[in-house]
Amino acid sequence: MKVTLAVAAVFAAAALSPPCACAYLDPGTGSYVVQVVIAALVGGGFALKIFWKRISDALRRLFSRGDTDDTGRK
Amino acid sequence: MTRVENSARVPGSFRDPSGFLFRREGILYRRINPAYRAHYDRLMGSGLYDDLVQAGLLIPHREAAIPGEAAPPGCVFIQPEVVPFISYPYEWCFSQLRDAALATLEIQRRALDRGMTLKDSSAFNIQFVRGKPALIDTLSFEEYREGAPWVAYRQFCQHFLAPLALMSRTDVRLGQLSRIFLDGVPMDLASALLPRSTRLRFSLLTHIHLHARAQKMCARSEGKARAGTLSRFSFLALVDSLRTAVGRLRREPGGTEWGEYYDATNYSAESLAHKKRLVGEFLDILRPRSVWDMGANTGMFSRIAGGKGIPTVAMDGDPSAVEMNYRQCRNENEERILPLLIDLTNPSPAVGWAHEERMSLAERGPADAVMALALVHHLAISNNTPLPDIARFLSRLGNSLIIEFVPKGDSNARRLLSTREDIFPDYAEGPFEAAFGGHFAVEKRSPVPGTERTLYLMRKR
Repeated sequence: MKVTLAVAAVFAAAALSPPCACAYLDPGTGSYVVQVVIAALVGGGFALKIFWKRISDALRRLFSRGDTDDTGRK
Repeated sequence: MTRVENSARVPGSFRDPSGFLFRREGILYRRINPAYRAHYDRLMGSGLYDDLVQAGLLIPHREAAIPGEAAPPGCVFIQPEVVPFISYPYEWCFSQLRDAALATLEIQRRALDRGMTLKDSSAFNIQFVRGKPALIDTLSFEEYREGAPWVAYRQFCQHFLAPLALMSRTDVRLGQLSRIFLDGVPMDLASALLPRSTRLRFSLLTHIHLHARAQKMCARSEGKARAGTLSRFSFLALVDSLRTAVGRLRREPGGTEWGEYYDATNYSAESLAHKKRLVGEFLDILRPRSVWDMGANTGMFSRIAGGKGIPTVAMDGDPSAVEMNYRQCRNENEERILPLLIDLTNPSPAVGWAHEERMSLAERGPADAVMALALVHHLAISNNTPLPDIARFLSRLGNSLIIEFVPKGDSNARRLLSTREDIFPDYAEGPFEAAFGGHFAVEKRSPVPGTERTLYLMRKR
């Protein structure tokens, strides 16, 4: 289902083209279109991932108070 | 016209109008042009520079004044940290390219946190510094505009994802495509070369196969309509998706002809220990500032040089050996050793615009010392290279030489000759010494006990 959606979305979006990227590299019209489509497809999963990470981080902080890195980075 | 405009611009530094690299009195500088100044100030002022440098993801620099020379109005000169040895993606094993890809995505993620984005994502902008991948192009950042898609997305897929997928799912040797396609492996080619089963993996289906299809369709459509936008959240989702795609690609080094060399070696543990001791003694005599270990295999002897604090490039033509060497370097934080995939019978040439964009191996030398251990018989017998030619080329690569002669009586040399006619009447110790004597003076000559081999220490005449 996801794959079918992706194919359909790319086909639909392929009629569009990006505005001037004002970049020294040619970003490529197809590459512009496909990244917008992919980002839309993975956005939901990413939101869940962030949500779950926040919960697990909060739980970890709760159970190992004082041991965490306050920068949040490894 | 200023002196800078007339000076020795680094040949590969011409595409980006933001600035360029040049040398003055042997020192490497980067000029930042007025058009890029706002982005540079943002990089420095936003905390992104400090964050990336602290994490080892960006090489540090300092703003510099060139004696007797003022920067043109609006320009800044910076002096970046010098990378000891410039290597190229086609010289990296799978895990090196994968780590470089993940470093690029991490840089992009941190840049977005600070309101910036990568405007290019060339694999040539990544170098291995102290054993880890780091961005060397300080001018790769620009201010992020809400809604703008990633201009460097295509470049990331072509420089990293496509070759990694091909190395992982088709054949590891396809990493060499990066040597032909300097702007990355074209998406349509990657799509055609990947097995059909990769269409069942969502990340490869979308970022490679659909990407290739979309490029083809858009090339035909000459589109005139308006594009969609990418919110910051969607941008982060895209970067995360690429990270997942890269992170899931795997390649385990298989046993190849010489990949298990040390296990299959024809001499005893005592002989090996003695050879190691000799190599260490010769290095102590030479005290080189850099070592190139040619035919390094998994890096056993490179580690002797690295252990003495000498920056050592460990080159081998076997992808599995380089992969194992790199993994050991990574696992043990060996900062002094840089494993590279280089076949000495076909070393990296000068490539790119005007043959100058990417340097040949020889142009990156000479090394202070070259080690060629158990190598000459491969070049002479397997590749039919005359001994004087080997001596001449090695004299171009290094100022001194630690070299092992393996005679025909040695079982490894016999193995090379077992399936072919012996057309090498001159392959013997006498002609070897005569050939190398034309370029080097022999300083030490020590037999390796328990073998028929001899180890030499030579200095260039």
